[in-house]
Amino acid sequence: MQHRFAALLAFLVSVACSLGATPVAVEPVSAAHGMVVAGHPQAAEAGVAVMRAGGNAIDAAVAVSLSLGVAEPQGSGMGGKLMLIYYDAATRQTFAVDGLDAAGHSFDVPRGRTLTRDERRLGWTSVLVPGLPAGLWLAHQKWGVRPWADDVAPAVKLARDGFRVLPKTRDFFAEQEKKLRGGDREIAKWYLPGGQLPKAGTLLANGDLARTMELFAAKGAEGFYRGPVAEAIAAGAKQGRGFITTDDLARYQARITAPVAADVFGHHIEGAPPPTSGLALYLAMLKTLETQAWISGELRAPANLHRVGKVWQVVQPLVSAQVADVTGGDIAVKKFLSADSIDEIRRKAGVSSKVGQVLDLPFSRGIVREGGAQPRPAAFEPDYDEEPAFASTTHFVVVDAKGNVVSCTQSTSLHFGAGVIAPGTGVVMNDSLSNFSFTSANSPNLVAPGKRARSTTSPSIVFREGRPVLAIGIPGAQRIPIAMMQVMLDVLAFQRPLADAIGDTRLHLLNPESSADPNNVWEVEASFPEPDAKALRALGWTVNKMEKAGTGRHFGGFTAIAIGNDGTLTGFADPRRTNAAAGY
Amino acid sequence: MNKSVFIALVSLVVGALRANVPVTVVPVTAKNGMVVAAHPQATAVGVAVLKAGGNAIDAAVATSLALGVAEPYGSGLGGKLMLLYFEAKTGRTFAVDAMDAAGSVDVASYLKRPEDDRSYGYGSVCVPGLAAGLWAAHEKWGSRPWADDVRPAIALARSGVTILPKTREFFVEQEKKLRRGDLEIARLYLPGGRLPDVDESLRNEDLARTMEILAEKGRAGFYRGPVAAAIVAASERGGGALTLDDFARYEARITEPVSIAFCGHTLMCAPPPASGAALIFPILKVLESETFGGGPLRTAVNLDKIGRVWRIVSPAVSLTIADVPESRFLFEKLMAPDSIAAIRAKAFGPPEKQKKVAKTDGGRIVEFPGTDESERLAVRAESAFAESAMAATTHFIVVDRAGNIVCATQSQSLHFGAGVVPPGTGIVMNDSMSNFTFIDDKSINCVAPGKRSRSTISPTIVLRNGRPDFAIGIPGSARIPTALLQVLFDRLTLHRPLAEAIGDTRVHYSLPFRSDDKEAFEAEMSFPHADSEALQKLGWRVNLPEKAGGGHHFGGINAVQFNADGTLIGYADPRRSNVAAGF
Repeated sequence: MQHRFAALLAFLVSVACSLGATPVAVEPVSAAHGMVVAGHPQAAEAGVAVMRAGGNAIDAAVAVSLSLGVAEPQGSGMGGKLMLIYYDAATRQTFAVDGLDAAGHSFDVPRGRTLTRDERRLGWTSVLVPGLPAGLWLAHQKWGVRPWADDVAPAVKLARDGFRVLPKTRDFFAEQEKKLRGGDREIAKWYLPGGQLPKAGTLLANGDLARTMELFAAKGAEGFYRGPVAEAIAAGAKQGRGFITTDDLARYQARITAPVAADVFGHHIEGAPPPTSGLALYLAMLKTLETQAWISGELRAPANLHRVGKVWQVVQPLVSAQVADVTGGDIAVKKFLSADSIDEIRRKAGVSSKVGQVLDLPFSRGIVREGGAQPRPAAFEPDYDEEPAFASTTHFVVVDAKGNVVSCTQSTSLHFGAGVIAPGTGVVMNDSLSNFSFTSANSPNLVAPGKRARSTTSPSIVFREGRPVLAIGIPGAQRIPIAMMQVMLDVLAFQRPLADAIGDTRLHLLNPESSADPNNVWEVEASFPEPDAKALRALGWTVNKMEKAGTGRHFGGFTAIAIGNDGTLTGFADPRRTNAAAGY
Repeated sequence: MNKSVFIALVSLVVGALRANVPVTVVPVTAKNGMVVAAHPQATAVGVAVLKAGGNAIDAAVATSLALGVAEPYGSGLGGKLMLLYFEAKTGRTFAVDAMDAAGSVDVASYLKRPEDDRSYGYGSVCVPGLAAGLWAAHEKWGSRPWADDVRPAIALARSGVTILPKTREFFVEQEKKLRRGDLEIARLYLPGGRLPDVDESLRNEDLARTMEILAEKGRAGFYRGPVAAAIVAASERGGGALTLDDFARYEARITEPVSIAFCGHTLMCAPPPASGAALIFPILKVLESETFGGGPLRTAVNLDKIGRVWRIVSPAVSLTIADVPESRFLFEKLMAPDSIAAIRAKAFGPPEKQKKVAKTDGGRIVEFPGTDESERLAVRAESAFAESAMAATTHFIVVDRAGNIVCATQSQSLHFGAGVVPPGTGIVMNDSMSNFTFIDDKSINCVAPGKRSRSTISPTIVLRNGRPDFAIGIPGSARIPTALLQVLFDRLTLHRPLAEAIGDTRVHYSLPFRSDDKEAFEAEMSFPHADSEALQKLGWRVNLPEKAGGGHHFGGINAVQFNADGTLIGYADPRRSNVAAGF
């Protein structure tokens, strides 16, 4: 109970002020009725406008999601995927809407195996059937209260009038200039206006996307998966030697499933189920570390990071070997998060099963290099293409006046996806094919017709005493689950204010791409203190400083809304990206 | 005739004549369209539809229904269909899955019924899929009015089909079943209480009337209304589990075939719950770089080599294929490059290593067993039911002027199916319940209401550079995949003419039927004695069940080959009553 009060206090403190001297300052924003935190201020405003006009969280989510597709064309959109977690206040139930990208039913696996690494991440050969439009439509069909077309309208207008190019937007465009100039005329037409990168402060429109969304507004999912849009996409795919056909598009169905759930540190967390793997990874780590006796009061102390890394070394291969779009994947995650399984992980990772007990482990006896690369079970050999390092994604959260909550991550896989737009549609297509395994029969993520590619997206909702207290998520490819893990640990185990947890130096444990790669690499923001880096290296870890604290390209930026006991909403928009919080 | 065609034809014919194969397959060439089917009257019906302007799907509807009339023991409205369709316009291949589905069966009590109930009588009948499959294909791709495509079969049922010598043999073989108690089947197929004679014309007025309803009302004419009611009523009287709802709910599925790249070709084969590809494709892929010493294929050394791979792959089939959603993924797992490498290592590694692989890798290597002894036994025992030796089936191929291809296999499961005809319908009912797994409730092929049973049927289309090279298929239950395997090796690895590949001595590897039994190598009696002895020395038990060309056991292959100039060559295996005709 004491624990819970402490956590509660942490939330209140986080609302009151953000005093922590963290390298990145996160400014909380408060509101009384409804709030949106999203990857572009215009998208957040679109969501708030929908709620003001009587829409609920799902109505707002439709507007925000599609507006993000306009305002962050590099990150997500109708040509990509979505994983949406929805808490329904009336029934107090949480649902997952799985709109992940899928290999078409006609996917030619033998030909897929002949593709080069580049062909699996670039161009029409890398495009899977997009799931986002079907996911939004399904969620709206089930829970939306406003007419569908009204929820789509703000994004249509934004695409027609143009979204504001922010400095960080331009950074992403600049980083991907090569892809934009890769040969696809349509993507160059819209995103290199006049043959140049758009300047910060200018407005960038996409008239084709506006027209595509008008069809979507008029006809719902049919407007995208059948008819002229589907035909244009299939024609583009055919021309580009891609795989998807009109039949594949027509057969795509989003799914409503049960989220992954676990009780940890006196809270209950629900979030994205398989085929996403993020929740399984970070929840297993949190559960394992529930009993950890922390060496100091700081998560980022080398001794603590050492233990976190040890736990990750045990958990990560287990998740890779079990979680994907396979029948029974949800049951596998349940088993994986069960008490027995967590005890087994603790045993392997040197964490006591009794709260607060320090085990007499090699580390505490001062034996160094224990943190070095650890042998892994040979059973699973990840493909080199899995979980590409530079996936581009966006996360948004919505809470409405009734207390309904949406926590949603959407993505086109790599930045600007496949780098192609089907002529006339304005829709940047995903390259989610890059997320499949192609050779390993032992990988549950092996490609198959009709299958959805695995993803690390981890939209989550945190509950306390049956009530949602926090909706949170982050983009950033394989860094997503580790980012979630550290913020949750900071807040739940170290009782830090959320703004500090988000603002502090971001850390990541680098996924090995094959068993030949090391599994002892910490990636950190440059603000990570050098003495601590030295200490970690002395323990056998490699420490790589990736980017200046706050850059956000590598580490991504959080979006979160905390819900107070009195219903007050506090939004957190991590300035590492173009995030903005807006409420009323 | 174009000169190059003439030369090609001559060289083919000469090739066939020169080839020293026990069964002579005479190729038939045509320019505008071709039908190869198991009865001359069914072939003629298909050709007539093509000539009248119908496309391959129209002709397939006519041929399929005509086969049901002409080979009542083999297939028909009371049974199942797996149809591959190559659409010339788009270059895409589709699969129409119209496999028989279990009715509203109470699994617990069904499992307690005597074993015989799974293969004879109404307890063994599934909801037939053939009519829905033809209807779905016609709705999507047919060009003529449905009724016009159904009409030729009605005329055939009314005017009568000619009993051929090979037809009569199947009647003789099944006389016991025909006399077992169902009065309707006896009335229709033992006219005057005796087996029909060769050249006699056999009519089925009830079937003609049933097809008239089908012609008029389409899918609803079979799955709703008087036909469905008559079948369900008979089923209820006969202890079956079929309900009107089961019929109304049945839908054929239009899906995609499974495919692999092999020796520069793309092979498309029927998807789950058809299981042939899961046996053929891994064996082909494991032996893709094998040259078989330049041939011939059927030497003891080569057959042992194939057999060793077969031995590892065959237990995986029943763990991979069934009418469950994950089957498609399990198939891709089986075909994953590291799975193929593991099979190869296991089949040809040094003996100690083979043993070690089996031991240490456990179920892991490719996550299909065949490694764990208890699982292996279960698979064997299961196969005793699932792959009944005497399944009755027929395969036909249609190619139209536009280059569209239908490659379809249809079946009643066993010959004359369940041995029952619902009064007034004239339809012989399937016994596809026999294809489910009953002894292991954990099997993915375990019986369940609405589920479709697994089958070995394997219609196959082979493409080269995206263009059709040949279409091929065969009836013969468990022998279907092994027959295709040897023809594909002969044709694609050894570049042998199809006529020779089809005409050569047929061989088969057979799973043991009881756990105390051993696996065996089977061949037609033309298999050389010396090779037979050599195989025995290599540890194989050799059986020679029938004379070369007998066709009861080994079935007859039908194929159509595509020349670069657009001409078609049809191959009708004389092991059964097959006939190729074109125009």
